Amino acid sequence: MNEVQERSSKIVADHGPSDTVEPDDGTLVKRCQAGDSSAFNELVTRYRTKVFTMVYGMVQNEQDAWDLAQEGFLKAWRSIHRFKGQSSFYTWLYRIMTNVTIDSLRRKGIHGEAEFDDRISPDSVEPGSRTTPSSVPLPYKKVEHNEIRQRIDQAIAKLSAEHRAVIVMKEIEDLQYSEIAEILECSIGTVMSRLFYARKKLQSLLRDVYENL
Amino acid sequence: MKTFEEKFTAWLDGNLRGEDLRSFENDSMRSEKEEFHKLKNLLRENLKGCEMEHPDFFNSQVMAQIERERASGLRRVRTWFGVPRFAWGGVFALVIGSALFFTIIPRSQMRDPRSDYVAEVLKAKTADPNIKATVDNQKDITIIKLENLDKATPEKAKKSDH
Repeated sequence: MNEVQERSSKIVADHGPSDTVEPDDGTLVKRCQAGDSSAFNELVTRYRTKVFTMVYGMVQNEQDAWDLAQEGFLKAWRSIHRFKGQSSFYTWLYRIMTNVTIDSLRRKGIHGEAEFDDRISPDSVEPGSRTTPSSVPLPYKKVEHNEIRQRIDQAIAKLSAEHRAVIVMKEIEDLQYSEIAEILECSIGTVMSRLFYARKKLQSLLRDVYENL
Repeated sequence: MKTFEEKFTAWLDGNLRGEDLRSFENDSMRSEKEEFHKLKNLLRENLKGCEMEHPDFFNSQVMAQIERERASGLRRVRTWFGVPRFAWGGVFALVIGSALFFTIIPRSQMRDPRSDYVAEVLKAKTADPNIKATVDNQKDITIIKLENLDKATPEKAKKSDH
């Protein structure tokens, strides 16, 4: 838990000017509970990038990730009066986001055994879509990177919603097992077991990619 | 007792200790670990680079939706305190009143016990068509008048005296 709070402080430091002290999550949450929507706006600013990255990692579609992140923030606002501070705001928000995303994946009938998703076929990718980090790579590198990204997206599309969630939280967000268990409301053993199977599946699907890098 | 899957995951992430750790330390497992680290790096490098475009627009959409919901919430509250509230209140009161009237108040107390006697008398049959019964309901008394009855014989009168 302390680690999460430390992480939250780090995020504040990343976004805020160095000479001003920004209110912590608890203070902003209290203001939200009193009906101050500007405090919620600050929380959205603080967590939008991390939330978007996590949701995007699970759905591999920018528009869906945008919509789901918005839906998650709206749900958080609607139920913020029920937030008692038993976990960090960050964990609580992630739980909402994960549930929203998993529900969406389930509605779309994604159970981890589907064939490759047509939506992410090479033809449907916008030529100008940004799939690389901010640095501008050489053209051939960019093509190569896009291909790798597509392979990763296709591999993740073969995972169940629950397996995607643990992979994204562990491999991208670098959360601890206990944090993932708290967010997904399951045991640490379940998290570790899901990680095992998700990694095994990704390993079999992406072996040729990482072996040839 | 941890399952193999749990131990393997803990070992890959560098969280395995003691005897369990020693059981995983061999050449074939080491190469497996290297492979997993390659996978891990591949995922991190490619999935972490995703950035949200137009983040301020994202905020403005969320906040606009919140304000819309707040406004519609206020409208709902105002409407609830308006005319429909009183109409529904009236209907509700009527239903409750009717329910109480027909369930709580005993039906027997609503009947005039005198009407039972009147009905008894009027129901009685006689072979003589000349006998005529009339009922006169007054404020505190009901008068039943029977006309053309036979006079009672002295024997019958004596019996009724006893």
